[in-house]
Amino acid sequence: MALSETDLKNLPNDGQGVDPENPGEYKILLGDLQGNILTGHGRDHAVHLFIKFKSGKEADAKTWVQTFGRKYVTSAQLQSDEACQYRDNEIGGSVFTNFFLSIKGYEYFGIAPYQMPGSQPFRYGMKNESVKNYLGDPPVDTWDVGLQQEIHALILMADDEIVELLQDVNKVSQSLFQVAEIVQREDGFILRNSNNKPIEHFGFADGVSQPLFLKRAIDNARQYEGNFDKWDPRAPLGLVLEKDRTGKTDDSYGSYLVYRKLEQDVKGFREDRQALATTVGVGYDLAGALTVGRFEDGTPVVDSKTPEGSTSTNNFNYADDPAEFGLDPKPTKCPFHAHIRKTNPRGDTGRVNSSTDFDKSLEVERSHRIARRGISYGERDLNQNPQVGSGLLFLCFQANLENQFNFMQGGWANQNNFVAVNVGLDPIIGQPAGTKGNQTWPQTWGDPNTQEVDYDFTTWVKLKGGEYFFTPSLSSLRTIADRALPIDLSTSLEFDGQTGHITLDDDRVFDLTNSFTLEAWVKFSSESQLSGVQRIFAKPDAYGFGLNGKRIRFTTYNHKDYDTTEVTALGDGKWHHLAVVLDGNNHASFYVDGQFLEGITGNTPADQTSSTCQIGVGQQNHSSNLIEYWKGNLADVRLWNCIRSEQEIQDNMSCRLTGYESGLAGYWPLEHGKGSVAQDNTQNANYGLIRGNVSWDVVAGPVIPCS
Amino acid sequence: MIKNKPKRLKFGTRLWSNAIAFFLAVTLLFFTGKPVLAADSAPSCVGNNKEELGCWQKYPLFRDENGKILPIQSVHTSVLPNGKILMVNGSSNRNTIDRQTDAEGKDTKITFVDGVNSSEQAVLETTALFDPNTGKFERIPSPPSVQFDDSNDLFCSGHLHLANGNVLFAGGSNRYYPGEQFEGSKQINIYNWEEQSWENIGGQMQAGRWYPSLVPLADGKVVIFSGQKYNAPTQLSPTIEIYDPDTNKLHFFDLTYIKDSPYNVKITEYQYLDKDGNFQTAKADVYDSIDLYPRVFPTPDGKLLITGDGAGKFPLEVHQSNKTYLMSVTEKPSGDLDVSFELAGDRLDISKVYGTAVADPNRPGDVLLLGGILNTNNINFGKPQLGLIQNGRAPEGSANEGLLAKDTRITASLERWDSQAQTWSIEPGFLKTDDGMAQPRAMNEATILPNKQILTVNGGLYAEYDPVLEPLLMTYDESAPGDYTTKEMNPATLPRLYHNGSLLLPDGRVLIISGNASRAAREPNGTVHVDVVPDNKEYYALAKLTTDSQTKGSGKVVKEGDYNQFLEKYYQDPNQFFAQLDDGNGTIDPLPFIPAEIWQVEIFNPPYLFIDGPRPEIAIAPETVTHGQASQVKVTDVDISSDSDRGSLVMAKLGTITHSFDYGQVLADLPIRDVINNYDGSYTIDFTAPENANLYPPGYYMMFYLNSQGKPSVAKMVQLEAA
Repeated sequence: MALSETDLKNLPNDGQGVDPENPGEYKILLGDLQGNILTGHGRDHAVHLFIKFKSGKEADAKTWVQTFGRKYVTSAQLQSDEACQYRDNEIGGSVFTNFFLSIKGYEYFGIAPYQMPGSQPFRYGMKNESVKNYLGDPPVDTWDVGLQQEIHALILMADDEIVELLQDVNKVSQSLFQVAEIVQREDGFILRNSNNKPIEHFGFADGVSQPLFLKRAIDNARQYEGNFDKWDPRAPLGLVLEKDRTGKTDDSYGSYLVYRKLEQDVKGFREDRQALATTVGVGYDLAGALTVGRFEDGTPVVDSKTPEGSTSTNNFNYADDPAEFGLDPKPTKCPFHAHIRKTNPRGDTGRVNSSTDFDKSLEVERSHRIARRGISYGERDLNQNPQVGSGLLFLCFQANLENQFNFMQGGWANQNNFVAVNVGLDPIIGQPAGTKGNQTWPQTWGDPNTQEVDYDFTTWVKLKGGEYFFTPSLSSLRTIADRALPIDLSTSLEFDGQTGHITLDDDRVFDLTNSFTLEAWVKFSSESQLSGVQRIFAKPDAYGFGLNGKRIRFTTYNHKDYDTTEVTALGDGKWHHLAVVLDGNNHASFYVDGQFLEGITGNTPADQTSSTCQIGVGQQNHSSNLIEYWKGNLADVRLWNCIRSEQEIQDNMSCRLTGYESGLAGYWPLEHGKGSVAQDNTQNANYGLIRGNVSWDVVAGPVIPCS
Repeated sequence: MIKNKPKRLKFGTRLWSNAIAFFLAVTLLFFTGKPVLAADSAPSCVGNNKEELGCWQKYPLFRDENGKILPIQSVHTSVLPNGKILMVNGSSNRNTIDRQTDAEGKDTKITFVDGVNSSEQAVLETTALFDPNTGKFERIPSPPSVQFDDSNDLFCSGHLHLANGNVLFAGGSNRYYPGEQFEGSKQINIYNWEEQSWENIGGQMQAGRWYPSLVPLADGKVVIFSGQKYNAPTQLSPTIEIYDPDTNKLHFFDLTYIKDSPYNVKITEYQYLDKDGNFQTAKADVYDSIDLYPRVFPTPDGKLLITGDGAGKFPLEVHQSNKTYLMSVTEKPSGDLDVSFELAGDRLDISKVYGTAVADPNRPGDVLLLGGILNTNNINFGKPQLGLIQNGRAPEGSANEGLLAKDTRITASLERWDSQAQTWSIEPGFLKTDDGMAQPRAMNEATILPNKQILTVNGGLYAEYDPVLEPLLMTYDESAPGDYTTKEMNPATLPRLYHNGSLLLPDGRVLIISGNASRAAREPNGTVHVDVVPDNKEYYALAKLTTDSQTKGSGKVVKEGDYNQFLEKYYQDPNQFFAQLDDGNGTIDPLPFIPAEIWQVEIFNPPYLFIDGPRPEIAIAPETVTHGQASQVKVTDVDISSDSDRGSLVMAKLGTITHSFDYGQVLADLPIRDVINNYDGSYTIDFTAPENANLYPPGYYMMFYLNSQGKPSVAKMVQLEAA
């Protein structure tokens, strides 16, 4: 059943968070949602390619996007599965990839406006005059030239291994050449301080406070932050998810991405910070903390007047600063203008005079939160003081641009009168440049009688360009061409016949007894591999599909082995398509390369079991012993919960399906060429873990025309 | 047609029996005699040459039992079926004053705090009734400050009479959000005029609506357009809700995902009229939207015309669109509703904010748009605090300079939607002085008079500065530009800027009420300061006032102890005070100081009241009439001896006004089928009630009879019912 509005509004799993290792009702969502939204990809290096598709190439561009969506774009489920594999088995994953579309991208692809993401700023774009005025952004002609261009899409690729990343980026860039121009490229990296903690260029710990959606992140936060009594970082999915109207599943969601290239003048900031320290009469550390709201190590200045003075960097609020809010509150520890107080007031809007209800105000405040996914660029040497060419590639996800990033920038950071009259702009990101600050600074931290010193801090962050994007669901990308594409067998999985196999998630969709169809492309490099029983797909104690020597074998375990006559062509070293249909009378029909081979009668349907399915291996009856390992290559394995006719089998055996065809219960193209996860391209997202001796076989293989 | 005597006799018997039935059908309610109109106790009507230029009555201020002026303006004003005026304000857009004093009680510091706490009932007790017959005010309770666990502030709501005469209020302010931002309320409140009480409908709207527009449908349903969201400050809700009074249910639609709604129409180019009056085109790259307080009108065929004008389109600063739309509401067999959209004709200039709009009484179905602000939503444009504009130029670096550079201006135009041709036309210099000088206006109103003249009144050369005191009386004349001649009337004495009101009264006079030049400020003790100006450094400040406009730096803050006296003085002579600007030079604003809120009521008496001869009277009128059905009234104090003497009978729907737009008013000219001389000084007029329920929805109307010279009777209140 599809997720309801309430599911999106409330904390998932009663506050436990979504657990992709045990996804439950979120399974379809996680399979169709791109990664990086619910939790950051966490890779050390990232490349951002800004794409402008070529005019007149719309059809080819759609094909490119559909293929890219299948072969590269990382789902939330895949992100989690690969992270597990890395944590548990130190197995590296594929290059993490996102694909985003701007309004110009949607328009380029001719999507009807009422099916596009509806956000007004999204539809106007970041270069729009009104949007720019609201955000206080500098004129477009001062942006990086590439970012001044019309941008249709953004590709984000990330990996810890930079060589592998750059190889994939090159491959993608080359494949794009026919259909698009890369108008700008950004190379980002995680900047770390001497304690290996992620920081931004001004030297402050970054990404400390994030909305948390996943169980693992919530469990970690509890472990490191203690309880959530002063600040609860958990968030409902509705904070970042917006229905994708071009998606194909019941739970197709996307998210709005704000991209801003923020250049940081490190020298200017450090000098200004020193001048502030001198003027106010506080130390350099505290001066920095009064602008940011945290010391460089992340310690909140409201909790401590020195670094390392607090055990928690996120479980805090401003309820006691000042002790009495009254009509005209004056904080003495963390000024209202401090960056992290302006952009996350932790209840201040509920404490001011105009608040009608504290709890509601806090709830509203929390609804403005964004999921930040930024990464630094430019100078890596922390001892340098770059003025240009370094900064933050600011990315954040949200469900509502107007109410989240835009509001945070325009309604909070840029507002002299937020959260009270004349508190000044956010000294870090307040805009437009040159606005007088009005900031006042407490001379004696925490002293209710402290002097307030006037000092206008300059904004040392400058926007060099940006855009709004939407993160389409996988199903929308994988169907954008509105047709199946030719199958490309140049990438497949090669099994060793000894240990190599794939275990799939357990799912009721596999609980079939008859009236279903199994298909796969198979290849054997030598005739000798065609010996004994080997399985393409098996559900232990229920049904299995494979070979017995050169015969095709379909098994209803404990009932019958349906063995065909020998198919000698299988020994020719070429790819062949095999299919079996078990009909409602339990008769099996076999097809080779789309041609009917023979029918074999039977009496009994497959047993109803709750066993876990496998690809490339069978299982001994009534035991967990794996037997009958596959000895060749497999590609494009399909399970249908319906009877497919000979014509239907012929018609689409050569097509790479979209995954959303009616009746398709499982679809494993095995085309990724990397990683240890076999993706199921149906909405059921029954991913498999590749185990034992299996290798990706990437050769020049045939691309079979799709009829 | 007046029938000849012999013929009449023939019909005598039947007519007599009809007359009996007719007399039985009317109730005694309408025999209570003439309302007290301009009685001896009423304020005198001031103005030269009233017969041509009208005159003004200034009503005594609303005072408490101690004679202290009560701080009640009227942001939302409605005529009730009993002829009284409902004055609604909620929190009234006020800030809070934080007054710090020393041990002796002397002020040490006065700080203006953004907004007020609108969940405090005392903050919202600003509702009153005004009786234009007696000139008396009466405080009435406001709805509860908290309802369905949310605050319930009617400030910035939308409102419209239901068919039963009760006034439906949708939305309002949820709270004052720090940083001068606003959130919409989801509340529905209904003022029951018979019970004099507030009611709710057992629930709330799905969306918050701050600045919604309410538009009636033929069957009594009300379409609630636009508004800013609940819990998402300063963001436009791209949704509508349709209220069904029969079921108390609301039908919700998100227009973002409805094909062909304005939100899905791409604007790539628009035409505009530059300040020299030349048509230009410009490129655009946006999707359209529906404004806040959109000006929307029912069409004769039952669609709703979305004109593009309204009152702000945040975050779009400039609504670069000529597009107009027709929306259809259809009922499915299941009882659910559907809405769909089609493009109507393009306007010749881009849409505006804070002008007014009116259904043309002379060409039913046509719509007129009058005045307004072009190229900004910033209602502060023109205020001297943003840089004093002199000779069309503002000081270098000032906000006004920036706005002028973007071609921000107030327009004098009249635009017409021709419902027959389905096209728009424009008359750029329509609003003008009698010597032909264009006189642009914002925050103006257009009140339909029973004689089908239109009184455009209130507002200023800027939205909150430089008031225009002279109403323009518009008279239909197809040979005139814009099909109306204009004539300046005698000036009012009080400036009426933002949040002013103008309503046709049942006695044919026009109520002129309220006006907000700025945000007033409330002290926790309830005192409301109107001697307040925006201040570039301190947010707001108590105005430094002087009576010596020639001496720089002569402004002084009014001492707290003298504040009430200041108010008294102001209302004695509204032109005596001048404010010192905070420009560092002590410059005195050359125009008289305007208090943040105007609390005194004026009533304009249009020239038609001074036409020679007796004022006709409707002696008997039906309590109810039904769409398209025949009915009768009996009139006296009139002499009808020929066809050309028969005069006219009209029904003017009760007005309900806010933010430069009267959502209620529409005038139906009733076809007279027959006039019967009763030979007792009275005439019985056979007429047909309005046919078209789309243009003339069910509800309370003021029925006026006008003699052949155009002198109106006092209206009888008539309820128009669905057939």
